[in-house]
Amino acid sequence: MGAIRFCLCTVMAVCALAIAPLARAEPSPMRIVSLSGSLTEIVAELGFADRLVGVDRSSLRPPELVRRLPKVGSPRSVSIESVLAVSPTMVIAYDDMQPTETLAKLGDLGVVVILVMRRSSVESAREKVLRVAEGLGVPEKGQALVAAIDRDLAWPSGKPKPDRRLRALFIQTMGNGPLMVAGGNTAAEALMAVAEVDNAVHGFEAYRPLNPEAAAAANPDVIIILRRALERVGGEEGLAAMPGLGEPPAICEHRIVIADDSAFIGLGPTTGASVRHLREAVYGR
Amino acid sequence: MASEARAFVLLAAVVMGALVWNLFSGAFSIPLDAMVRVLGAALGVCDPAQEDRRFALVLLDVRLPRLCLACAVGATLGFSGAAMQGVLRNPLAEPGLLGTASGAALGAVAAIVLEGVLTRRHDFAPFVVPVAAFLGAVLSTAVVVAVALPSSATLLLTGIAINALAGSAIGLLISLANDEQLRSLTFWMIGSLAAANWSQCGIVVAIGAVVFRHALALDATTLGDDVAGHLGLDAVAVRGRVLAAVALAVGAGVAFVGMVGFVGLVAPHLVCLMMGARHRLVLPGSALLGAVLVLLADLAARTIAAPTELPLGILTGLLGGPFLLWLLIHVGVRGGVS
Repeated sequence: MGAIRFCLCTVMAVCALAIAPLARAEPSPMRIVSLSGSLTEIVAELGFADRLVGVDRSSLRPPELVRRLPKVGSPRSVSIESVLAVSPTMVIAYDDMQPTETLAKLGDLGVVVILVMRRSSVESAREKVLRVAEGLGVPEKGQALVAAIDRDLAWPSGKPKPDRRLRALFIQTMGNGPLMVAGGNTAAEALMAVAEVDNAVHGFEAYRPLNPEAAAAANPDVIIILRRALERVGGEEGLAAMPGLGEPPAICEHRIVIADDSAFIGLGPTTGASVRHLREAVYGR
Repeated sequence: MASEARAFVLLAAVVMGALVWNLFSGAFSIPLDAMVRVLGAALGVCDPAQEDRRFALVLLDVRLPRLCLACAVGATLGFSGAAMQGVLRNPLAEPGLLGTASGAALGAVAAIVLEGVLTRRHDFAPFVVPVAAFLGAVLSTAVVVAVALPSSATLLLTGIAINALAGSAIGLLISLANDEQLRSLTFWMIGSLAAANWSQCGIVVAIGAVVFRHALALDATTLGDDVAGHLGLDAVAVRGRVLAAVALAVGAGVAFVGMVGFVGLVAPHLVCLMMGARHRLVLPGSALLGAVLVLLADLAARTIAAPTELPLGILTGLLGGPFLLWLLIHVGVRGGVS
């Protein structure tokens, strides 16, 4: 009998210990888990870097911060136990996160879940910042950050727009397969449009492998490439040696823009600066 | 004898047809006269014209190396499958089953996911993945052969064990990969000839030719009949040599184009069904048919969805599967290669 009572007591004590972090959640300071790279950047940019207690593997920036934070899963598979292990009070995630039940379960357990829509338009960079700022209770900081992004996005006043819009090929990945490039309805194409640059390839949506002959036919004026992709192929020389990229104007005239992953694919707080960088690299203004 | 010759002429004609069809199709349209001028200039018959520069670039640096690599990889996979089926006396043997392909995949995936650790210097970056794939193919086959060489029954079982192990290790690495690495390794896993260039062709053709000659010589002594059976230890050594050669050849091919499934399995069976199971025919026949399969699959990969590409490894299965079924229904099984 005594043994049974002991067991029951132990079980209850363990349960109490397990629930304790959740019960303590209200008064203690905010503990945030961010489940996407660009969302982590937004949280950090809004001044909540020291409140982050966990991030997913797509969170690469700010590097000194994410290096020491526990990783709670990959973008497409978040482990609910890893999330709970860091006892968050708030989880920030995209609405298409997998597995979908995870967020509902977190909500049931009393964690505040902030959902952000995933869309590939420049507008969504602003929306994301505002949504996260609102969730964190600092809408005015969100407005200020959006204003900063907008300043970079806008064509500088007093400078004429280009006579001829240049055509750019956005390369996401390359290596042993075909070039993976941005087609229609992508964040990359949306950012190009803001910088007054046209997409050099047409006729397909999303990121698709491009036939090397089609790359030669596209004859781009500019190549925009993710840093990691350029490194993998062996730098600018390696890029020129890729089939189909022999001698378009982009290669001959060295108009190669190194893009930032989170700005061009994730659409985050650095999107404005990346567009300004692209505009300056292509048109010099 | 006459029917054998006829069958070979037919196969060679089909290869030529597939080559010509490939040569004239592509996302970049090249007029016939420009193509003749460019090819003439490349062969030194006439002077290169300045206005043909872009045609020459596409034809000589993109389309032709891709055709050659398709032929070389297809032929390598075809005769490797035939050699393995013959040596192991098992109609299901193919490079995939013995762990060669999955070892290559593991090598490549590991190189992509662990690249930050492996490559401090970016000059090496383009070579790391092919070299890792090649080493993976050779190592995994070496393990299988070393564990199970004495009996071909355990050989297949060992291959299955290695496949399972490599598959799980790949799964583990994939779960550690970030988005950018996932995109790279997906392409590797489904195969593509899009990055073909002349040096890759040269390497695959050179290794393939050496191995092919080696395998042909073996064909006379061991594949022909069961004489090798009472040669005892020697037969084991022969088996090991052929498997090593096949691992080298397949490793070289797979290192550059990724996983191209089904060709090694299906080409020898198609040749047997069409020509009968005569070993002298099966090796070269499988090489030719493997080349045709990969050429046609790549033609589909690069033209159907232009300007985008379809995955090669899936198209070889889509093309070879129905053909094998059709032959099985109409010709019937006349026995495997063994």
